[in-house]
Amino acid sequence: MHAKQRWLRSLWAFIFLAFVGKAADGQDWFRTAIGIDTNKPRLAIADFAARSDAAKPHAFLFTQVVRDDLQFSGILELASPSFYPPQAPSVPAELKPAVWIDPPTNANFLGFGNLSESTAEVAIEAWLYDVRSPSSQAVVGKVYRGAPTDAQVRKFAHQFADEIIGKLSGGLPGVASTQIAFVSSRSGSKEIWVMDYDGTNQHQLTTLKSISLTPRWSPDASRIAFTCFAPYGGLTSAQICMYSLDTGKLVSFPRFRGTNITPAWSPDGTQIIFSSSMQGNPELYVSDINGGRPKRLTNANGASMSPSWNPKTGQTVAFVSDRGGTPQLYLMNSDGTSDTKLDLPDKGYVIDPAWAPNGQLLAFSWRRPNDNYDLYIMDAATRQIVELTRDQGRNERPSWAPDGRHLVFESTRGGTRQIWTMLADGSQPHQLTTGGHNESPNWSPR
Amino acid sequence: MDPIGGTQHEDQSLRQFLIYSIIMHASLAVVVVVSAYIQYHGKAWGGIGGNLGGTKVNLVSAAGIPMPKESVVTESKAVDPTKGLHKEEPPKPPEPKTDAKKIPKFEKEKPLPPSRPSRTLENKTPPPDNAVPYGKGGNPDLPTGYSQTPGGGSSGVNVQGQGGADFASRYARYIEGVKSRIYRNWNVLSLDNTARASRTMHCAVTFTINRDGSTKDEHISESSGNPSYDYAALHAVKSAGAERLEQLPSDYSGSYVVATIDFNPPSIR
Repeated sequence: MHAKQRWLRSLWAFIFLAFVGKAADGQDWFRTAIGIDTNKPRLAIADFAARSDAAKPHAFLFTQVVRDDLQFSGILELASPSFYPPQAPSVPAELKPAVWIDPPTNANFLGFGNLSESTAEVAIEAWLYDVRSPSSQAVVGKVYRGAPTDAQVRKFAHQFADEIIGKLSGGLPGVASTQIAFVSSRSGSKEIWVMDYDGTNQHQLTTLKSISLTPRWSPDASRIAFTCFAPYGGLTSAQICMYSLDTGKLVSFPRFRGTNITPAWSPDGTQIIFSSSMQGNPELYVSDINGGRPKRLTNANGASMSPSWNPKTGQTVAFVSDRGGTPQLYLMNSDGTSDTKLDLPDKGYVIDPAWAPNGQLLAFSWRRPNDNYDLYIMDAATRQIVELTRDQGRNERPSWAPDGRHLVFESTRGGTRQIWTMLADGSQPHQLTTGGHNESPNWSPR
Repeated sequence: MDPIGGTQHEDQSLRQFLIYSIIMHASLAVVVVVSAYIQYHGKAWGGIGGNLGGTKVNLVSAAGIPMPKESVVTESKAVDPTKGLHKEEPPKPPEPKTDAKKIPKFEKEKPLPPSRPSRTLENKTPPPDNAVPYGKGGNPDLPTGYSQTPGGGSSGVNVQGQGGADFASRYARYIEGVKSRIYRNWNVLSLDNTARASRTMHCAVTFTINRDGSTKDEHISESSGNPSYDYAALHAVKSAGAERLEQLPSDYSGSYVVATIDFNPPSIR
């Protein structure tokens, strides 16, 4: 009887282990790391092949812009072209993964393709392959066709770079196709200008020949609200103006008594919040995007201005008020209730709040006693802060890129006030403007 | 005492073992059949290995990645650049199990359309997570002129491998996306001063990624000893999961993957 039980027990144990072992075998896993001392994916972008002599300049331009975009992204490592093997593929059939995997290139991914051009059209075939993957289907594969102009080729390069960045960041968008609005006085008066995110294609939007300030993109990137100076009641005063990117013209927006400045958009694009002294004291008001039905949100001694609407939650507005004597940061609900001061561990002036796309971090400018304005980031939940700039002139007016990885800001570190970008940890500063004085940048939402 | 009885007893004993032997063999046969069934249906991706043991996989350096058997690369006549415009193609039913003979389907498709403005190549709407051909079953939607036959898998990939190491090498691009999403949700400003000052603090979070990109069973598998550091890491994984990670690669046959993320000190402090 005992022998029989042992046999049966052994039999069931055998069957059980056989199944469990099988299940364990089928469980796939991976382990990886983030933080310092961890590797980023290493990319090589081969020279795009020109299919004719006429195509060579644009093939070179396309290659260079893609490389610059990827370098800027901060999420990958770009292998130096001097390490590349002499023969670059122009189509997948020519791809020899081994020569790109081997040192010194050591690539994980390879971008390549070709460009052909006629007087009427440029056509670009572009691929990204995981050269270490045995499946080796294209990670990205695109064909671009358009006018054979530098601007169009540059645009295609940005699109291809964004495709790559999106694929390597879990679907989060790249910013290579985004733009930055800013204020420039290079034409003689402070006007609203726009440029590509990398500083190219700078062009003037407004010609008001007065003073235009604080541009803010609408969430759908179709409009820019800004502070302008316009006549009201026989006087010229600060008003809210609205520019349509679709029509290239100003859109009607009502004028109010007093000083009206620093507009900001609600995340859904249906409301504008701005500072106005229409009832005496500078307070924050909210209206629809046509300026209708303005409603006061704050009611305190001192001025309230520079609102920034939490883009993630839509529930919270950060703003600046000097109700306590000096400009400081405050948070309130978007209906104006529950305003609270964000205390910092030192005195000074605190201005320019800007919510990150994740709705958790707040960038701002802080002039500590006996110091210049510098940029900081605060975690709104814990109130922990980190310093991004130091001892490099004045650094102000941060604005987040839609990827949440980059900031654009104005700085005097080069001697004049110019527009700069950097990664949100303060690294990789990059100057975008050089001519005239340029300030108050705002990164487009897409 | 009875010799006959004794013989009878021995006969009964032998018969008993014979019955056990038959049951054992029958069980073995059942196990083999069921295992083959599971294997055939892809429930047991990966062969040996695959346990949650401690081999650390370095995703992006050549060292440490046990590369699978080299693929056979063959040229294909299939060249149709319009296939690259996958967003404009009408939705197709799932690709049937196929082999190299399917490729001529490319050749039968329409020739290149005449030149047209670039915007026809652009999609006004965000592409679905798995819209790009990487890892997609069936034919790549690009003029590849390039096909791989890693074991002749009908969906482009016949997944065989060594547990996690094979997943890491085969789906490196997917894993980079997971890292990026989690990193984006890692709020290092929530760390306390001790954690922010440390250059060596480390913890690990292990969790399961379901096919749809959702996560479950998130837990600290290696604690840093600092509550704020562990919390920030766990919160990063949970937040990324709440937003949904990318769906598992469509040519991956498993229904879930277990991941372990090591959180080294952040660059920002």
